[in-house]
Amino acid sequence: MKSWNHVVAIALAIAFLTATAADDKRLSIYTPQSFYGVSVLDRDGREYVPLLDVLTPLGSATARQDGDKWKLRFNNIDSEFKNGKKKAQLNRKHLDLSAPFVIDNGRGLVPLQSLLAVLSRLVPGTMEEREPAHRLFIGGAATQFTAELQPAGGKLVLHFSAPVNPAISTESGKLRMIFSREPVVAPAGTQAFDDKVIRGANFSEHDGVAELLIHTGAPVLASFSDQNRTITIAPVPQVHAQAPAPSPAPPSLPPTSPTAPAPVAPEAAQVAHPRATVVIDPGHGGDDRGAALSATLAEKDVTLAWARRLRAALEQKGIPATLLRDADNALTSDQRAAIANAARPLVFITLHAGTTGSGVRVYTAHLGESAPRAGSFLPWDTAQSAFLDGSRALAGSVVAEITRREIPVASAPVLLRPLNNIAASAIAIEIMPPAADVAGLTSAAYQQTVCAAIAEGIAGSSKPVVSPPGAPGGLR
Amino acid sequence: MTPRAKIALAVLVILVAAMGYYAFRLKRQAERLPIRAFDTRPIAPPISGPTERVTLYIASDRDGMLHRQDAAIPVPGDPSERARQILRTLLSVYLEKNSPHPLGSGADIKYVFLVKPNMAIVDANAAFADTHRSGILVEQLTVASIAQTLAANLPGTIRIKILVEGKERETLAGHADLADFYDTAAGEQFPVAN
Repeated sequence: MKSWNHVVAIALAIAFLTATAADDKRLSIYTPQSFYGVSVLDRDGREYVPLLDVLTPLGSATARQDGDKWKLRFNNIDSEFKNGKKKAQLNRKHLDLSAPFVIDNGRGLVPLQSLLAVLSRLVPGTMEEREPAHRLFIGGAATQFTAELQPAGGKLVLHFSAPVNPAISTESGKLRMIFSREPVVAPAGTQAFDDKVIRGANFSEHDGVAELLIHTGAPVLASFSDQNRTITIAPVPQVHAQAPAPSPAPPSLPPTSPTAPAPVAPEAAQVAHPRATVVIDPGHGGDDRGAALSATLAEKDVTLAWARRLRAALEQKGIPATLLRDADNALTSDQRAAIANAARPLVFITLHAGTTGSGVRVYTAHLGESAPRAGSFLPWDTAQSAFLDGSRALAGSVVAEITRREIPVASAPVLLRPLNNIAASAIAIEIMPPAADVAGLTSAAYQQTVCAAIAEGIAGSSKPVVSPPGAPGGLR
Repeated sequence: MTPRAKIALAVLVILVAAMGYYAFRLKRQAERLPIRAFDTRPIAPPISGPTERVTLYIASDRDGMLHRQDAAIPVPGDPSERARQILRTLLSVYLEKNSPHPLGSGADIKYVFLVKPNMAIVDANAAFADTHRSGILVEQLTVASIAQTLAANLPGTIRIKILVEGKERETLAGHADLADFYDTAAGEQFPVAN
């Protein structure tokens, strides 16, 4: 009986791990203007992607389910798919999918193998899919790089054709660069160097990311220059021990909160995370659908589409931005705050959508102000108090830019998590439809106009967006 | 079959078809009739007490602001019951047919506890939160109107907490934070129309 229990427990564990692993797969999509990711789902042993998630950042996309039919309208092109059928009609032409189309909870799933064929009928421009690596390049998006070894100093200089911001980690004899958001491409393979420090480099693509692994014979350090177009890998210089400069401590987690995430482990803390200036939090996600904006439109999908659009608008202005979630996954408000605070951004924006009225609402935290104290911990529940001055200046700047575009806008203080827990200038933005029609929330033109205004407002914030002493200054 | 029997059979078939069509029409008509909504609001006990002028901060979805409005209502002498009665008057505005900020049918305030000189705990019923519309603005309007109405009528009350059926709830309907106290003295307040 006991052994039977063990067998059941092991089977459950394997099933859980398999399910978890399956949920982690994602397809990275690169366009010349933006990057985004969509979940890759397993159905009957085949890989599928939600078609609307792929198309929404590329233009005006709406879909509705009509019985076993799934009707899609993308940039005025009508398409129709049928649940369980391989035949589809795109722009009045038939297309045979590699596997049956699937309707799952109103979402239309296409086989990953057929995604390129579907997109080529809907989206103009060149496209390249690296299917095993889960990477899709649209409109010729690609960042090339060259590697130049300088044997004198044991340096490897990497020149990229566009700015990059990889996650860099080091382990014994290796320096690993993960390009999760940049369309970095190169022929896969290993290149050996005749050098004591830099011994070789290996480029590979997998799970929606590109990875450059540098094999080293001594501890090395990566440094950025030329506006993140050049990365120099050089031996760690010999330095004398020096006391670190005082800086404001991150907010302390509530000791009794059952949902509070665990502190970062020492191993994880060694990973060098690229610093994003702006962290964007698409509200809701996973089982938390947020408000039902219409019979088919959930708030969680709208916030993700808007977040991707805002990131692209910020990056066009040269402001690095990252999303707290780039797929349909659930995060608690404490997790959102912990991830955002760990990234130490200058600006945090949480995005929501509503249908009460029209235009845009910009919110700051409804908290009392408190003076920041350098080097001290901030209370988790009211961490935002020390940053309210910058947050209000930021909200004012964003409101001014939206007003300039003649879009109705207002601001107010709110009690909203994770806004209260953020140790940076932080605002919440609630997007309402441009008019009474809820479908306007998915309009590419409306998204573009509002996101451009928000990006302009962030860039143009007149006050330093970080209040505490010792912290970095404003964006300009 | 005789000609008469044939005629009788034909008449019967026509009658059956006509009755069937009539029954179908009746069924369609019945389906179109609106379902009569039950008023699930609990019946309030009669209020005994002097009539008093109170201040209500009424939320408006149209302009996203609070509107200050005075009302004369009978209020009991007990401070907690008085606070509860003022909030029920506020909610009655939201439960009217053409409300500026509609709440779900059956939304009610069960108790108001005045815990400390500056703190009030409002215990709402399940319908208040379960039927509330979702969105930052609509939720915050409800919370701010309750908090500012209490603060206006209970001098000294600055911290307000909303419970649902006696239990702490993370958010009202996915957005407005109910886990924290609403501090009516903290920094900026929700905009009030002049």
